[in-house]
Amino acid sequence: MNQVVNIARWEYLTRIRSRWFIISTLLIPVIMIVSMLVPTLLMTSEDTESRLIAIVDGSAQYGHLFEQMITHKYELKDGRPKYQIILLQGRDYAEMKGQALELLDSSLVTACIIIPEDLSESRELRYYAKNLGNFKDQAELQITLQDLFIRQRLVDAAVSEEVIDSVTRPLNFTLMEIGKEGEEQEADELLSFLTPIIFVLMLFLSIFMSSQILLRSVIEERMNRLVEILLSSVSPTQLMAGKITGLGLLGLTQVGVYLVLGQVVSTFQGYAILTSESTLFFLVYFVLGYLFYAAIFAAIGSIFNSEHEAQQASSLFSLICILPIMLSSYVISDPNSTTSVVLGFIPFITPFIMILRIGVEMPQLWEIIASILVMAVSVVLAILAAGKIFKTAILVYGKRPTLSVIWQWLRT
Amino acid sequence: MITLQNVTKTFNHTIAVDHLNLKVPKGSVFGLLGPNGAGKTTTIRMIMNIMQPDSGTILLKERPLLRSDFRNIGYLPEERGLYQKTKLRETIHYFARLKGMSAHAALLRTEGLLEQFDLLGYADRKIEELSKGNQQKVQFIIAIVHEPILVILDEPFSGLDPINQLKMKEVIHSLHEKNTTFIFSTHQMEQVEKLCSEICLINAGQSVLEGPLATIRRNYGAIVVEIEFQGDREKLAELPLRIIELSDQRLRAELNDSRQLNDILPQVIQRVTLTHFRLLEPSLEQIFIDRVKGSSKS
Repeated sequence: MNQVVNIARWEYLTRIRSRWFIISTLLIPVIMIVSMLVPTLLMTSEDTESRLIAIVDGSAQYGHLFEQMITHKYELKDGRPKYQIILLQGRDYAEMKGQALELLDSSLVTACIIIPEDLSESRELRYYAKNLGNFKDQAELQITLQDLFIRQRLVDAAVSEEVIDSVTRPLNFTLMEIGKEGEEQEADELLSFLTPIIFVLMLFLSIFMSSQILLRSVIEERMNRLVEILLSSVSPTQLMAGKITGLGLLGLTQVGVYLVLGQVVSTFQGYAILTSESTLFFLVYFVLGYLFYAAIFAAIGSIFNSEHEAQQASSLFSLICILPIMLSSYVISDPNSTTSVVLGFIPFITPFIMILRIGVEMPQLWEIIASILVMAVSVVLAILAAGKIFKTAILVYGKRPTLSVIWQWLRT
Repeated sequence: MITLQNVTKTFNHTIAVDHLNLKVPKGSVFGLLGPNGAGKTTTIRMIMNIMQPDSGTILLKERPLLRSDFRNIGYLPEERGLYQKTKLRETIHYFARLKGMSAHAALLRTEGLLEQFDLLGYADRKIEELSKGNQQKVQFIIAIVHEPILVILDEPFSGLDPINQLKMKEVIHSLHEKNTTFIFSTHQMEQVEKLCSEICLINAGQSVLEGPLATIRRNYGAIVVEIEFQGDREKLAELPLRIIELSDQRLRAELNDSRQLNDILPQVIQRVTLTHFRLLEPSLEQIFIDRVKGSSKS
């Protein structure tokens, strides 16, 4: 036990003083948050360039009205219209269409909308663009056309201008959330989406930074053969336990820094991102997730001869863990669906999914307890298996053991 | 101190150590000699419990080694490395602690050794800033920091300059005087002749020659006589000697034993004018080469 403490202290102290550790601990979250926020901010920010849109108007009715409507509706900061329309009408439909597509092809216009002759019956509009990923523009154009169409049909039906205005006036849709004490407050859509993601990214980072350091530390000792001296002083089990403990405490320190920073930011901003509950769960899932991955990475480190080789195996596991981040939009949108609940019980991703779910909406108590149990059992199994591999592999150099050899070690 | 009985280790159908028997007496400086690939490092790793023998037993003071015994054993592996990013003083201190020393004792001992090895000035430097020779001294310090009763050194002098070799030998001597047992492996024979009291010569995993160095010299080494003379060298060629070298002024030849000299010298004097003669001690290197060649022939 004493030796485990000695090793843990050594691993912790030599790492925590490293300048790179301090820098990356502080910088990585900043980089991650910035890289998440910047695109979102850019997408929601005002545009500075107006777009040329070609309209082929087969109906000889809507094109002109659309031009009037859209140029007034959306304006750039400097007052110029956001959309400028090149209207093609009154000639042969096919010829106009060909001409419009040529304009698009030569990039003179950013998009081209085809309004057919029989819009009232077919209700079919076509939108052509080189970039079909500009959802914001598409939505604005679509809403305006829809609006125009409804208006025009009402005018055709001889409904009065007043009624039309009152019918087509948009509804306000305010997002509200209910706080802890039942108080209502206006919600920030962006924030309620980002909070769980920030949490899961922080968890991912803390777990993987510590596990990667563990992996590197095992490989370093294997490569410089210090492991021979170490193992003439302590048992492999003590060595592994000491390393996992020391670097786990390192990870906890990192988590502590993040939680304090989070608290400072949320107090400063007036948002209650961190609650004592979410902090507690974060710590619980960090410890479980870290122990699980640390065991796996310690075993990987004991098998491979160089960091380069091991990196390939470890990146496989890191990829598995990116899965929850990729699934995050789904889990956030529907945290209590059967899929979300089931995902929360898959050991490799349990901590991440559960933190996501907790960040959105507190799951049922049984789900939390069950997920912790699943994780605890997985941790025990992972540590037992890793211990067996580590003990045998740590001093084996040269040829890397095959999977079947490793399987034999596990069975002994 | 250490006894190996019938120890065998095989790697992928190659026998590295083949039914090896060894007896390292307490307080001895024991040299494990052999050419590259003879099984020296494997033997040491088995003693250090880094590898398990396939068969045979390794005993410490007539009983199997326990994990706790390793607290009293120091080890310098053949392939060397250290943590590069940590400071000298704290690295030595860490290994002393791992060997079970109290924090205070470890600190005192670390300071003492740093001073003894002229490393105090580097104590707070990172190890990567040290020269290779100094790093090697640090590794040696780690092997002896906990005042072990047995120190195992695998090729300790390779890569060290003469001054530092001398320093290391001094320390080995002074520890030896305090009854510390040393085992070291080497293929550098001069080191062994100067340091060892006992040797074991192994080749292809088997012991070829074992015992106190003096006995081995007496029993296995051919005595060489070197004679310088003036006169006709052809007259010497007819002497009943195993001649190694015969030139215009010099004759080198092997004697069966030292008594033969009494018969030979008068005959030499009769034939030529003797200007100088001396007996050469059998060199371990010659014994080594003879035995290794002999054993690979058989």
